[in-house]
Amino acid sequence: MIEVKNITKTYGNIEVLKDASLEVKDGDFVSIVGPSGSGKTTLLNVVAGLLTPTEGEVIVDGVSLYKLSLRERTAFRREKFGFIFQTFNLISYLTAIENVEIPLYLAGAKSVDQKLVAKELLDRVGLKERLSHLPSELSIGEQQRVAIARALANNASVILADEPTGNLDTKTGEEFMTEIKRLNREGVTVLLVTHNAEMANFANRQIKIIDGRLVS
Amino acid sequence: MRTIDFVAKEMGRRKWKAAAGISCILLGISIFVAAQTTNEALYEKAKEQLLRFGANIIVQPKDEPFDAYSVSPGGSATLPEIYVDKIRNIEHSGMLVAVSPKLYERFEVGDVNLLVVGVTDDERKAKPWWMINKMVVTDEFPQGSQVLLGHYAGAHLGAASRIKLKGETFAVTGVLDETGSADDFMAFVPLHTLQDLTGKKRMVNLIEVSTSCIACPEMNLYDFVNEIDAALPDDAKVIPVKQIAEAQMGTLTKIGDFTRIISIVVLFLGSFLMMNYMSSSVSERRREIGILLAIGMEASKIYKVFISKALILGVVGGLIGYAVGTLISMVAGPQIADTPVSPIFQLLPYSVVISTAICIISSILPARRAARLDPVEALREV
Repeated sequence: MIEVKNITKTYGNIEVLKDASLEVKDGDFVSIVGPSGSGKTTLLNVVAGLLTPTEGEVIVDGVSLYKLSLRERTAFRREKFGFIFQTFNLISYLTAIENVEIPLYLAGAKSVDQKLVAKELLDRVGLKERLSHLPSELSIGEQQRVAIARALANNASVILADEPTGNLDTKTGEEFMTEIKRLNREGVTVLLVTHNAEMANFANRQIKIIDGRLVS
Repeated sequence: MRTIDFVAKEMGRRKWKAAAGISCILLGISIFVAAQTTNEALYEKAKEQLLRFGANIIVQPKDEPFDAYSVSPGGSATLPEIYVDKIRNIEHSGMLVAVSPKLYERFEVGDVNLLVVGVTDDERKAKPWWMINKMVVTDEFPQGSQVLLGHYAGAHLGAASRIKLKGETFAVTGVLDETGSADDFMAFVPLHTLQDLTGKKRMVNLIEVSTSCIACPEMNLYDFVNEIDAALPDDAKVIPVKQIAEAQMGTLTKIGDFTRIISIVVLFLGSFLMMNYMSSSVSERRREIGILLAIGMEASKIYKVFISKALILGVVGGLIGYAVGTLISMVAGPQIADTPVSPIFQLLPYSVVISTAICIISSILPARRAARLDPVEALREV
Protein backbone atom coordinates (compact mmCIF):
# COMPACT_ATOMS: atom_id res chain seq x y z
CA MET A 1 0.00 0.00 0.00
CA ILE A 2 1.16 3.54 -0.79
CA GLU A 3 0.40 6.23 1.76
CA VAL A 4 1.11 9.84 0.86
CA LYS A 5 0.85 11.92 4.00
CA ASN A 6 0.55 15.70 3.95
CA ILE A 7 3.13 16.27 1.24
CA THR A 8 4.23 19.81 0.50
CA LYS A 9 6.89 20.59 -2.07
CA THR A 10 8.18 24.10 -2.58
CA TYR A 11 10.72 25.55 -4.97
CA GLY A 12 11.77 28.84 -3.44
CA ASN A 13 8.54 30.68 -2.80
CA ILE A 14 6.50 28.53 -5.16
CA GLU A 15 4.41 25.75 -3.58
CA VAL A 16 4.04 23.04 -6.21
CA LEU A 17 2.31 20.53 -3.91
CA LYS A 18 0.16 21.70 -1.04
CA ASP A 19 -0.55 19.32 1.84
CA ALA A 20 -1.31 16.43 -0.52
CA SER A 21 -2.50 13.18 1.03
CA LEU A 22 -3.44 10.00 -0.79
CA GLU A 23 -3.80 6.27 -0.20
CA VAL A 24 -3.40 3.65 -2.94
CA LYS A 25 -4.28 0.14 -1.86
CA ASP A 26 -2.55 -2.92 -3.31
CA GLY A 27 -4.07 -3.88 -6.67
CA ASP A 28 -5.75 -0.48 -7.09
CA PHE A 29 -5.60 1.60 -10.29
CA VAL A 30 -5.59 5.30 -9.55
CA SER A 31 -5.29 8.11 -12.05
CA ILE A 32 -4.23 11.60 -11.12
CA VAL A 33 -5.70 14.06 -13.55
CA GLY A 34 -4.87 17.69 -13.96
CA PRO A 35 -3.77 20.34 -16.39
CA SER A 36 -0.14 21.09 -17.22
CA GLY A 37 1.73 22.62 -14.29
CA SER A 38 -0.76 21.39 -11.70
CA GLY A 39 1.90 19.36 -9.87
CA LYS A 40 0.92 15.84 -10.95
CA THR A 41 4.41 14.80 -12.20
CA THR A 42 5.94 16.28 -9.04
CA LEU A 43 3.56 14.13 -6.98
CA LEU A 44 4.50 11.03 -8.97
CA ASN A 45 8.25 11.77 -8.51
CA VAL A 46 7.72 12.20 -4.76
CA VAL A 47 5.83 8.88 -4.58
CA ALA A 48 8.63 7.23 -6.62
CA GLY A 49 11.27 8.31 -4.14
CA LEU A 50 12.94 10.53 -6.72
CA LEU A 51 12.10 13.91 -5.20
CA THR A 52 12.41 14.67 -1.51
CA PRO A 53 9.32 16.56 -0.28
CA THR A 54 9.65 19.75 1.73
CA GLU A 55 7.18 18.39 4.25
CA GLY A 56 5.26 15.16 4.74
CA GLU A 57 5.95 11.50 4.33
CA VAL A 58 5.57 8.70 1.75
CA ILE A 59 5.10 5.19 3.14
CA VAL A 60 5.21 2.20 0.81
CA ASP A 61 4.38 -1.20 2.32
CA GLY A 62 5.20 0.18 5.75
CA VAL A 63 8.55 1.69 4.73
CA SER A 64 8.96 5.47 5.00
CA LEU A 65 10.76 6.21 1.74
CA TYR A 66 12.59 9.36 2.73
CA LYS A 67 13.93 7.87 5.93
CA LEU A 68 15.98 5.49 3.79
CA SER A 69 19.48 6.41 2.59
CA LEU A 70 19.80 7.33 -1.08
CA ARG A 71 21.28 3.93 -1.84
CA GLU A 72 18.56 2.06 0.06
CA ARG A 73 15.89 4.15 -1.65
CA THR A 74 17.37 3.37 -5.08
CA ALA A 75 17.32 -0.35 -4.32
CA PHE A 76 13.77 -0.10 -2.93
CA ARG A 77 12.60 1.73 -6.05
CA ARG A 78 14.23 -0.89 -8.27
CA GLU A 79 12.42 -3.74 -6.50
CA LYS A 80 8.98 -2.17 -5.98
CA PHE A 81 8.34 0.17 -8.87
CA GLY A 82 8.19 -0.06 -12.63
CA PHE A 83 8.38 3.22 -14.55
CA ILE A 84 6.77 4.28 -17.79
CA PHE A 85 7.54 7.78 -18.97
CA GLN A 86 5.98 9.82 -21.73
CA THR A 87 8.26 8.95 -24.67
CA PHE A 88 11.97 8.71 -25.36
CA ASN A 89 11.59 6.16 -22.66
CA LEU A 90 14.03 3.62 -23.98
CA ILE A 91 17.80 3.55 -24.31
CA SER A 92 18.29 4.33 -27.98
CA TYR A 93 21.29 2.08 -28.64
CA LEU A 94 19.82 -1.01 -26.99
CA THR A 95 17.41 -3.39 -28.71
CA ALA A 96 13.94 -4.10 -27.32
CA ILE A 97 15.11 -7.19 -25.43
CA GLU A 98 18.21 -5.40 -24.10
CA ASN A 99 16.07 -2.51 -22.83
CA VAL A 100 13.92 -4.96 -20.90
CA GLU A 101 17.05 -6.64 -19.52
CA ILE A 102 18.26 -3.40 -17.88
CA PRO A 103 16.28 -3.60 -14.59
CA LEU A 104 17.35 -7.24 -14.27
CA TYR A 105 20.97 -6.30 -14.94
CA LEU A 106 20.69 -3.54 -12.31
CA ALA A 107 19.28 -6.05 -9.84
CA GLY A 108 22.25 -8.35 -10.48
CA ALA A 109 20.43 -11.18 -12.32
CA LYS A 110 22.48 -13.62 -14.39
CA SER A 111 22.75 -12.89 -18.14
CA VAL A 112 20.90 -16.08 -19.07
CA ASP A 113 18.01 -15.30 -16.71
CA GLN A 114 17.86 -11.71 -17.95
CA LYS A 115 17.37 -12.96 -21.51
CA LEU A 116 14.73 -15.51 -20.53
CA VAL A 117 12.62 -13.10 -18.48
CA ALA A 118 12.93 -10.26 -21.03
CA LYS A 119 11.87 -12.57 -23.85
CA GLU A 120 8.87 -13.79 -21.92
CA LEU A 121 7.77 -10.25 -21.02
CA LEU A 122 8.06 -9.00 -24.60
CA ASP A 123 6.03 -12.02 -25.68
CA ARG A 124 3.44 -11.02 -23.07
CA VAL A 125 3.08 -7.50 -24.55
CA GLY A 126 2.91 -8.90 -28.09
CA LEU A 127 6.40 -8.03 -29.27
CA LYS A 128 7.76 -11.53 -29.73
CA GLU A 129 8.85 -10.73 -33.28
CA ARG A 130 10.54 -7.42 -32.42
CA LEU A 131 13.12 -8.54 -29.86
CA SER A 132 16.19 -7.42 -31.80
CA HIS A 133 14.83 -4.13 -33.04
CA LEU A 134 16.26 -0.82 -31.89
CA PRO A 135 13.76 1.77 -30.58
CA SER A 136 14.19 3.76 -33.81
CA GLU A 137 12.90 0.70 -35.70
CA LEU A 138 9.76 0.44 -33.55
CA SER A 139 6.56 2.52 -33.67
CA ILE A 140 5.86 4.78 -30.67
CA GLY A 141 3.13 2.38 -29.56
CA GLU A 142 5.57 -0.54 -29.71
CA GLN A 143 8.16 1.48 -27.82
CA GLN A 144 5.63 2.08 -25.02
CA ARG A 145 4.88 -1.66 -24.89
CA VAL A 146 8.61 -2.32 -24.50
CA ALA A 147 8.49 0.22 -21.65
CA ILE A 148 5.67 -1.79 -20.03
CA ALA A 149 7.72 -4.97 -20.32
CA ARG A 150 10.70 -3.16 -18.80
CA ALA A 151 8.53 -1.84 -15.95
CA LEU A 152 7.50 -5.40 -15.11
CA ALA A 153 10.96 -6.93 -15.40
CA ASN A 154 11.76 -7.00 -11.69
CA ASN A 155 8.32 -8.30 -10.74
CA ALA A 156 7.38 -4.76 -9.79
CA SER A 157 4.19 -4.61 -7.70
CA VAL A 158 3.54 -0.96 -8.62
CA ILE A 159 3.62 0.72 -12.02
CA LEU A 160 4.15 4.46 -12.02
CA ALA A 161 3.19 5.95 -15.37
CA ASP A 162 3.76 9.59 -16.29
CA GLU A 163 1.67 10.67 -19.30
CA PRO A 164 2.38 7.34 -21.03
CA THR A 165 -0.09 8.06 -23.83
CA GLY A 166 0.94 11.68 -24.31
CA ASN A 167 2.53 11.00 -27.68
CA LEU A 168 0.23 8.22 -28.86
CA ASP A 169 -2.76 8.59 -31.16
CA THR A 170 -6.16 7.77 -29.61
CA LYS A 171 -6.33 4.20 -30.91
CA THR A 172 -2.77 3.31 -29.84
CA GLY A 173 -3.36 5.11 -26.54
CA GLU A 174 -6.42 2.98 -25.86
CA GLU A 175 -4.57 -0.21 -26.76
CA PHE A 176 -1.85 0.82 -24.37
CA MET A 177 -4.33 1.53 -21.58
CA THR A 178 -6.08 -1.79 -22.20
CA GLU A 179 -2.74 -3.50 -21.66
CA ILE A 180 -2.21 -1.56 -18.42
CA LYS A 181 -5.73 -2.42 -17.29
CA ARG A 182 -5.08 -6.09 -17.99
CA LEU A 183 -1.93 -5.96 -15.82
CA ASN A 184 -3.93 -4.25 -13.07
CA ARG A 185 -6.46 -7.10 -13.17
CA GLU A 186 -3.52 -9.48 -12.73
CA GLY A 187 -2.74 -7.70 -9.44
CA VAL A 188 -0.32 -4.92 -10.35
CA THR A 189 -1.01 -1.58 -8.61
CA VAL A 190 -1.08 1.32 -11.07
CA LEU A 191 -0.62 5.01 -10.39
CA LEU A 192 -1.19 6.96 -13.59
CA VAL A 193 -0.61 10.64 -14.17
CA THR A 194 -2.43 12.12 -17.17
CA HIS A 195 -4.19 15.20 -18.43
CA ASN A 196 -6.34 13.07 -20.76
CA ALA A 197 -9.77 12.37 -19.27
CA GLU A 198 -10.46 9.40 -21.59
CA MET A 199 -7.30 7.61 -20.52
CA ALA A 200 -8.03 8.44 -16.89
CA ASN A 201 -11.34 6.58 -17.24
CA PHE A 202 -9.45 3.27 -17.41
CA ALA A 203 -8.61 3.72 -13.71
CA ASN A 204 -10.75 2.47 -10.84
CA ARG A 205 -10.41 5.79 -9.13
CA GLN A 206 -9.65 9.30 -10.35
CA ILE A 207 -8.12 12.06 -8.29
CA LYS A 208 -7.96 15.61 -9.57
CA ILE A 209 -5.04 17.89 -8.87
CA ILE A 210 -5.46 21.62 -9.21
CA ASP A 211 -2.68 24.05 -8.34
CA GLY A 212 -0.93 21.44 -6.24
CA ARG A 213 -4.01 20.45 -4.21
CA LEU A 214 -5.60 17.00 -4.50
CA VAL A 215 -9.34 17.10 -5.05
CA SER A 216 -11.22 13.81 -4.99
CA MET B 1 23.81 -8.14 -20.00
CA ARG B 2 26.87 -7.19 -18.02
CA THR B 3 28.43 -3.74 -17.56
CA ILE B 4 30.98 -4.46 -20.25
CA ASP B 5 28.22 -5.56 -22.69
CA PHE B 6 26.27 -2.44 -21.85
CA VAL B 7 29.30 -0.26 -22.65
CA ALA B 8 30.34 -2.28 -25.70
CA LYS B 9 26.82 -2.04 -27.16
CA GLU B 10 26.79 1.71 -26.68
CA MET B 11 30.17 2.06 -28.38
CA GLY B 12 29.38 -0.47 -31.08
CA ARG B 13 26.10 1.14 -32.07
CA ARG B 14 27.46 4.69 -31.89
CA LYS B 15 30.61 3.97 -33.81
CA TRP B 16 31.38 7.55 -34.81
CA LYS B 17 31.12 8.76 -31.25
CA ALA B 18 33.37 5.92 -30.08
CA ALA B 19 35.83 6.74 -32.87
CA ALA B 20 35.84 10.38 -31.73
CA GLY B 21 36.69 9.21 -28.20
CA ILE B 22 39.46 6.95 -29.41
CA SER B 23 40.90 9.68 -31.60
CA CYS B 24 41.23 11.98 -28.55
CA ILE B 25 43.62 9.62 -26.80
CA LEU B 26 45.12 8.24 -30.01
CA LEU B 27 46.40 11.71 -30.87
CA GLY B 28 48.37 11.97 -27.65
CA ILE B 29 49.67 8.41 -27.64
CA SER B 30 50.72 8.38 -31.30
CA ILE B 31 52.71 11.61 -30.90
CA PHE B 32 54.22 10.23 -27.70
CA VAL B 33 55.29 7.01 -29.47
CA ALA B 34 56.50 8.87 -32.56
CA ALA B 35 58.56 11.26 -30.40
CA GLN B 36 60.07 8.44 -28.34
CA THR B 37 60.84 6.28 -31.39
CA THR B 38 62.35 9.15 -33.37
CA ASN B 39 64.26 10.29 -30.30
CA GLU B 40 65.79 6.84 -29.94
CA ALA B 41 66.99 6.98 -33.56
CA LEU B 42 68.25 10.55 -33.06
CA TYR B 43 70.01 9.47 -29.88
CA GLU B 44 71.76 6.61 -31.65
CA LYS B 45 72.78 8.82 -34.51
CA ALA B 46 73.94 11.62 -32.23
CA LYS B 47 75.92 9.11 -30.20
CA GLU B 48 77.57 7.77 -33.30
CA GLN B 49 78.42 11.27 -34.47
CA LEU B 50 79.60 12.42 -31.06
CA LEU B 51 82.00 9.50 -30.88
CA ARG B 52 83.81 11.16 -33.72
CA PHE B 53 85.12 13.75 -31.31
CA GLY B 54 87.55 11.05 -30.26
CA ALA B 55 88.28 8.95 -27.26
CA ASN B 56 86.39 9.87 -24.16
CA ILE B 57 88.72 8.13 -21.64
CA ILE B 58 92.54 8.18 -21.52
CA VAL B 59 94.68 5.77 -19.50
CA GLN B 60 98.23 6.92 -18.85
CA PRO B 61 101.10 6.32 -16.41
CA LYS B 62 100.20 7.70 -13.02
CA ASP B 63 102.99 10.05 -12.05
CA GLU B 64 104.16 11.37 -15.35
CA PRO B 65 101.66 13.30 -17.39
CA PHE B 66 102.15 12.39 -21.00
CA ASP B 67 102.55 15.09 -23.58
CA ALA B 68 102.78 13.72 -27.08
CA TYR B 69 104.37 16.89 -28.45
CA SER B 70 107.43 16.81 -26.22
CA VAL B 71 108.17 13.13 -26.66
CA SER B 72 111.91 12.51 -26.92
CA PRO B 73 113.42 9.14 -27.83
CA GLY B 74 113.53 6.88 -24.84
CA GLY B 75 111.97 9.58 -22.62
CA SER B 76 108.38 9.22 -21.50
CA ALA B 77 106.96 6.81 -19.00
CA THR B 78 105.15 3.72 -20.24
CA LEU B 79 102.49 1.19 -19.24
CA PRO B 80 102.43 -2.54 -19.98
CA GLU B 81 100.46 -3.35 -23.12
CA ILE B 82 98.67 -6.11 -21.16
CA TYR B 83 96.52 -3.37 -19.58
CA VAL B 84 94.64 -3.28 -22.89
CA ASP B 85 93.37 -6.79 -22.21
CA LYS B 86 92.41 -5.85 -18.64
CA ILE B 87 90.32 -2.97 -19.99
CA ARG B 88 88.71 -5.26 -22.59
CA ASN B 89 87.66 -7.62 -19.80
CA ILE B 90 85.73 -5.14 -17.62
CA GLU B 91 82.09 -6.00 -16.83
CA HIS B 92 80.59 -3.61 -19.37
CA SER B 93 83.18 -4.28 -22.09
CA GLY B 94 80.35 -4.74 -24.60
CA MET B 95 79.87 -0.99 -24.55
CA LEU B 96 83.50 -0.27 -25.53
CA VAL B 97 83.91 0.81 -29.14
CA ALA B 98 87.69 0.89 -29.18
CA VAL B 99 90.62 0.37 -26.84
CA SER B 100 93.53 1.90 -28.67
CA PRO B 101 97.03 1.64 -27.17
CA LYS B 102 99.68 4.06 -28.44
CA LEU B 103 103.42 4.32 -28.37
CA TYR B 104 105.01 7.61 -29.47
CA GLU B 105 108.55 8.11 -30.79
CA ARG B 106 110.22 10.98 -32.61
CA PHE B 107 112.45 10.29 -35.64
CA GLU B 108 114.51 12.51 -37.93
CA VAL B 109 113.41 11.83 -41.47
CA GLY B 110 115.50 13.99 -43.78
CA ASP B 111 115.00 17.48 -42.39
CA VAL B 112 111.69 16.62 -40.79
CA ASN B 113 111.33 15.77 -37.10
CA LEU B 114 108.50 13.26 -37.38
CA LEU B 115 106.34 12.07 -34.52
CA VAL B 116 105.61 8.40 -35.22
CA VAL B 117 102.77 6.65 -33.44
CA GLY B 118 102.49 2.91 -33.00
CA VAL B 119 98.83 1.90 -33.23
CA THR B 120 96.67 -1.20 -33.45
CA ASP B 121 93.64 -1.89 -35.59
CA ASP B 122 91.43 -0.30 -32.87
CA GLU B 123 92.72 3.11 -33.94
CA ARG B 124 90.68 2.70 -37.10
CA LYS B 125 87.53 1.89 -35.07
CA ALA B 126 88.13 4.90 -32.84
CA LYS B 127 88.60 7.18 -35.84
CA PRO B 128 86.04 6.29 -38.45
CA TRP B 129 86.56 9.71 -40.01
CA TRP B 130 90.08 8.84 -41.25
CA MET B 131 89.88 9.06 -45.03
CA ILE B 132 92.21 8.86 -47.97
CA ASN B 133 90.84 10.71 -51.00
CA LYS B 134 87.46 10.77 -49.24
CA MET B 135 87.40 6.98 -48.93
CA VAL B 136 87.45 5.19 -45.58
CA VAL B 137 90.87 3.77 -44.73
CA THR B 138 90.91 0.02 -45.36
CA ASP B 139 93.92 -1.68 -46.99
CA GLU B 140 96.02 1.42 -46.37
CA PHE B 141 96.07 0.77 -42.63
CA PRO B 142 99.72 -0.11 -41.95
CA GLN B 143 100.86 -3.68 -41.40
CA GLY B 144 104.42 -4.92 -40.70
CA SER B 145 106.86 -2.38 -42.16
CA GLN B 146 104.30 0.02 -43.54
CA VAL B 147 103.57 3.60 -42.55
CA LEU B 148 100.48 5.77 -42.95
CA LEU B 149 101.19 9.50 -43.04
CA GLY B 150 99.12 12.33 -41.61
CA HIS B 151 98.09 15.06 -44.07
CA TYR B 152 100.86 17.62 -43.35
CA ALA B 153 103.46 14.96 -42.53
CA GLY B 154 102.85 13.60 -46.04
CA ALA B 155 103.10 17.10 -47.52
CA HIS B 156 106.46 17.71 -45.79
CA LEU B 157 107.88 14.44 -47.00
CA GLY B 158 106.86 15.08 -50.62
CA ALA B 159 105.63 12.19 -52.67
CA ALA B 160 107.96 9.69 -51.02
CA SER B 161 106.80 6.10 -51.40
CA ARG B 162 109.21 4.90 -48.75
CA ILE B 163 110.76 6.43 -45.65
CA LYS B 164 113.51 5.27 -43.36
CA LEU B 165 113.03 5.12 -39.61
CA LYS B 166 116.11 4.26 -37.56
CA GLY B 167 117.64 2.70 -40.64
CA GLU B 168 114.65 0.52 -41.43
CA THR B 169 112.63 1.12 -44.58
CA PHE B 170 108.88 1.61 -44.35
CA ALA B 171 106.54 1.59 -47.35
CA VAL B 172 104.09 4.52 -47.37
CA THR B 173 100.59 3.11 -47.77
CA GLY B 174 98.89 6.48 -48.09
CA VAL B 175 98.47 10.05 -46.88
CA LEU B 176 95.38 10.84 -44.81
CA ASP B 177 93.01 13.60 -45.83
CA GLU B 178 93.19 16.64 -43.55
CA THR B 179 91.50 15.94 -40.20
CA GLY B 180 92.09 19.27 -38.48
CA SER B 181 93.66 17.42 -35.54
CA ALA B 182 97.17 16.59 -34.33
CA ASP B 183 96.94 13.45 -36.48
CA ASP B 184 97.75 15.64 -39.51
CA PHE B 185 101.37 16.02 -38.30
CA MET B 186 102.02 12.38 -37.35
CA ALA B 187 102.92 9.10 -39.01
CA PHE B 188 101.32 5.81 -38.03
CA VAL B 189 102.96 2.39 -37.92
CA PRO B 190 101.88 -0.89 -36.35
CA LEU B 191 102.36 -0.83 -32.57
CA HIS B 192 104.45 -3.98 -32.42
CA THR B 193 106.73 -2.76 -35.22
CA LEU B 194 107.44 0.46 -33.28
CA GLN B 195 107.91 -1.47 -30.04
CA ASP B 196 110.56 -3.65 -31.76
CA LEU B 197 112.21 -0.64 -33.36
CA THR B 198 112.48 1.28 -30.09
CA GLY B 199 113.17 -1.68 -27.83
CA LYS B 200 110.01 -0.96 -25.77
CA LYS B 201 108.67 -4.48 -25.97
CA ARG B 202 104.99 -4.75 -24.99
CA MET B 203 104.97 -1.20 -23.64
CA VAL B 204 102.72 1.74 -24.54
CA ASN B 205 102.61 5.43 -23.62
CA LEU B 206 98.86 5.67 -23.29
CA ILE B 207 95.63 3.88 -24.04
CA GLU B 208 92.66 5.72 -25.53
CA VAL B 209 89.25 4.26 -24.78
CA SER B 210 86.04 5.05 -26.69
CA THR B 211 82.73 4.01 -25.17
CA SER B 212 79.41 3.84 -26.96
CA CYS B 213 77.47 4.61 -23.83
CA ILE B 214 78.05 8.12 -22.63
CA ALA B 215 74.76 8.90 -20.96
CA CYS B 216 72.96 5.59 -20.93
CA PRO B 217 70.48 5.04 -18.09
CA GLU B 218 72.58 2.20 -16.64
CA MET B 219 76.11 3.55 -17.27
CA ASN B 220 77.57 6.98 -17.82
CA LEU B 221 81.12 7.90 -18.68
CA TYR B 222 82.19 8.26 -15.06
CA ASP B 223 80.96 4.75 -14.29
CA PHE B 224 83.26 3.47 -17.05
CA VAL B 225 86.18 5.44 -15.58
CA ASN B 226 85.59 3.83 -12.19
CA GLU B 227 85.25 0.36 -13.68
CA ILE B 228 88.48 0.66 -15.69
CA ASP B 229 90.28 2.18 -12.70
CA ALA B 230 89.29 -0.80 -10.57
CA ALA B 231 90.56 -3.23 -13.22
CA LEU B 232 94.02 -1.69 -13.51
CA PRO B 233 96.96 -1.63 -11.08
CA ASP B 234 97.91 1.57 -9.26
CA ASP B 235 100.52 2.72 -11.76
CA ALA B 236 97.79 3.66 -14.27
CA LYS B 237 95.68 6.78 -14.13
CA VAL B 238 92.25 6.80 -15.79
CA ILE B 239 91.11 10.23 -16.96
CA PRO B 240 87.74 11.12 -18.49
CA VAL B 241 88.09 13.68 -21.22
CA LYS B 242 85.82 16.08 -19.43
CA GLN B 243 85.08 18.64 -22.09
CA ILE B 244 84.12 15.99 -24.59
CA ALA B 245 82.23 13.98 -22.02
CA GLU B 246 80.28 16.94 -20.77
CA ALA B 247 79.45 18.13 -24.27
CA GLN B 248 78.39 14.64 -25.27
CA MET B 249 76.32 14.06 -22.16
CA GLY B 250 74.83 17.54 -22.40
CA THR B 251 73.75 17.10 -26.02
CA LEU B 252 72.26 13.67 -25.44
CA THR B 253 70.52 14.81 -22.27
CA LYS B 254 69.04 17.80 -24.12
CA ILE B 255 67.62 15.56 -26.84
CA GLY B 256 66.06 13.37 -24.14
CA ASP B 257 64.69 16.39 -22.21
CA PHE B 258 63.15 17.84 -25.36
CA THR B 259 61.37 14.57 -26.12
CA ARG B 260 60.16 14.28 -22.54
CA ILE B 261 58.71 17.79 -22.64
CA ILE B 262 56.93 17.09 -25.96
CA SER B 263 55.60 13.81 -24.56
CA ILE B 264 54.29 15.41 -21.38
CA VAL B 265 52.62 18.25 -23.32
CA VAL B 266 50.87 15.93 -25.79
CA LEU B 267 49.78 13.53 -23.06
CA PHE B 268 48.29 16.46 -21.15
CA LEU B 269 46.57 17.55 -24.33
CA GLY B 270 45.26 14.00 -24.80
CA SER B 271 43.88 13.89 -21.27
CA PHE B 272 42.27 17.32 -21.71
CA LEU B 273 40.59 16.15 -24.94
CA MET B 274 39.48 12.95 -23.25
CA MET B 275 37.99 14.83 -20.31
CA ASN B 276 36.14 17.07 -22.75
CA TYR B 277 34.86 14.07 -24.68
CA MET B 278 33.65 12.35 -21.53
CA SER B 279 32.01 15.54 -20.24
CA SER B 280 30.14 16.09 -23.49
CA SER B 281 29.18 12.42 -23.43
CA VAL B 282 27.58 12.96 -19.99
CA SER B 283 25.77 16.08 -21.26
CA GLU B 284 24.43 14.29 -24.34
CA ARG B 285 23.26 11.32 -22.30
CA ARG B 286 21.55 13.24 -19.49
CA ARG B 287 18.09 11.91 -20.27
CA GLU B 288 19.36 8.35 -20.66
CA ILE B 289 21.24 8.62 -17.35
CA GLY B 290 18.06 10.06 -15.80
CA ILE B 291 16.03 7.05 -16.94
CA LEU B 292 18.68 4.65 -15.62
CA LEU B 293 18.83 6.42 -12.25
CA ALA B 294 15.02 6.44 -12.04
CA ILE B 295 14.74 2.72 -12.71
CA GLY B 296 17.29 1.95 -10.05
CA MET B 297 20.85 2.34 -11.28
CA GLU B 298 23.12 3.08 -8.35
CA ALA B 299 25.84 5.74 -8.46
CA SER B 300 28.51 3.04 -8.16
CA LYS B 301 27.21 1.39 -11.33
CA ILE B 302 27.28 4.71 -13.19
CA TYR B 303 30.96 5.01 -12.24
CA LYS B 304 31.49 1.44 -13.36
CA VAL B 305 29.90 2.15 -16.75
CA PHE B 306 31.99 5.26 -17.38
CA ILE B 307 35.24 3.75 -16.11
CA SER B 308 34.67 0.61 -18.23
CA LYS B 309 34.17 2.81 -21.25
CA ALA B 310 37.39 4.67 -20.40
CA LEU B 311 39.16 1.32 -20.07
CA ILE B 312 38.04 0.19 -23.52
CA LEU B 313 38.93 3.57 -25.07
CA GLY B 314 42.29 3.49 -23.31
CA VAL B 315 43.28 -0.01 -24.41
CA VAL B 316 42.11 0.45 -28.01
CA GLY B 317 43.56 4.00 -28.16
CA GLY B 318 46.87 2.74 -26.74
CA LEU B 319 47.16 -0.10 -29.25
CA ILE B 320 46.19 1.99 -32.29
CA GLY B 321 48.19 4.97 -30.98
CA TYR B 322 51.29 2.78 -30.76
CA ALA B 323 50.80 1.52 -34.32
CA VAL B 324 50.12 5.00 -35.73
CA GLY B 325 52.98 6.59 -33.78
CA THR B 326 55.43 3.91 -34.93
CA LEU B 327 54.26 4.35 -38.51
CA ILE B 328 54.65 8.13 -38.32
CA SER B 329 58.15 7.82 -36.90
CA MET B 330 59.17 5.26 -39.54
CA VAL B 331 57.91 7.48 -42.36
CA ALA B 332 58.77 10.93 -41.02
CA GLY B 333 61.69 9.94 -38.76
CA PRO B 334 64.22 9.40 -41.55
CA GLN B 335 63.42 12.89 -42.90
CA ILE B 336 64.00 14.44 -39.47
CA ALA B 337 66.78 12.28 -38.08
CA ASP B 338 68.38 11.37 -41.42
CA THR B 339 68.68 7.83 -40.16
CA PRO B 340 66.49 4.72 -40.39
CA VAL B 341 63.96 4.45 -37.55
CA SER B 342 63.02 1.04 -36.13
CA PRO B 343 59.92 0.22 -34.04
CA ILE B 344 60.47 0.02 -30.29
CA PHE B 345 58.32 -2.91 -29.18
CA GLN B 346 58.95 -2.17 -25.50
CA LEU B 347 56.86 1.00 -25.95
CA LEU B 348 53.71 -1.03 -26.67
CA PRO B 349 52.87 -1.96 -23.05
CA TYR B 350 53.79 1.57 -21.91
CA SER B 351 51.45 3.05 -24.56
CA VAL B 352 48.54 0.89 -23.43
CA VAL B 353 49.13 1.54 -19.72
CA ILE B 354 49.61 5.32 -20.14
CA SER B 355 46.61 5.58 -22.48
CA THR B 356 44.38 3.60 -20.12
CA ALA B 357 45.52 5.58 -17.08
CA ILE B 358 44.85 8.89 -18.86
CA CYS B 359 41.40 7.76 -19.99
CA ILE B 360 40.42 6.53 -16.53
CA ILE B 361 41.74 9.61 -14.70
CA SER B 362 40.08 11.94 -17.23
CA SER B 363 36.76 10.13 -16.78
CA ILE B 364 36.53 10.33 -13.01
CA LEU B 365 35.11 13.88 -12.86
CA PRO B 366 32.59 13.40 -15.72
CA ALA B 367 31.52 10.07 -14.16
CA ARG B 368 31.03 11.81 -10.84
CA ARG B 369 28.90 14.44 -12.55
CA ALA B 370 26.80 11.68 -14.13
CA ALA B 371 26.41 9.82 -10.84
CA ARG B 372 25.26 13.00 -9.08
CA LEU B 373 22.76 13.89 -11.77
CA ASP B 374 19.27 14.63 -10.49
CA PRO B 375 17.02 12.13 -12.33
CA VAL B 376 14.00 14.44 -12.03
CA GLU B 377 15.90 17.27 -13.73
CA ALA B 378 17.33 14.96 -16.38
CA LEU B 379 13.93 13.41 -17.18
CA ARG B 380 12.43 16.84 -17.70
CA GLU B 381 14.71 17.33 -20.72
CA VAL B 382 13.30 15.86 -23.91
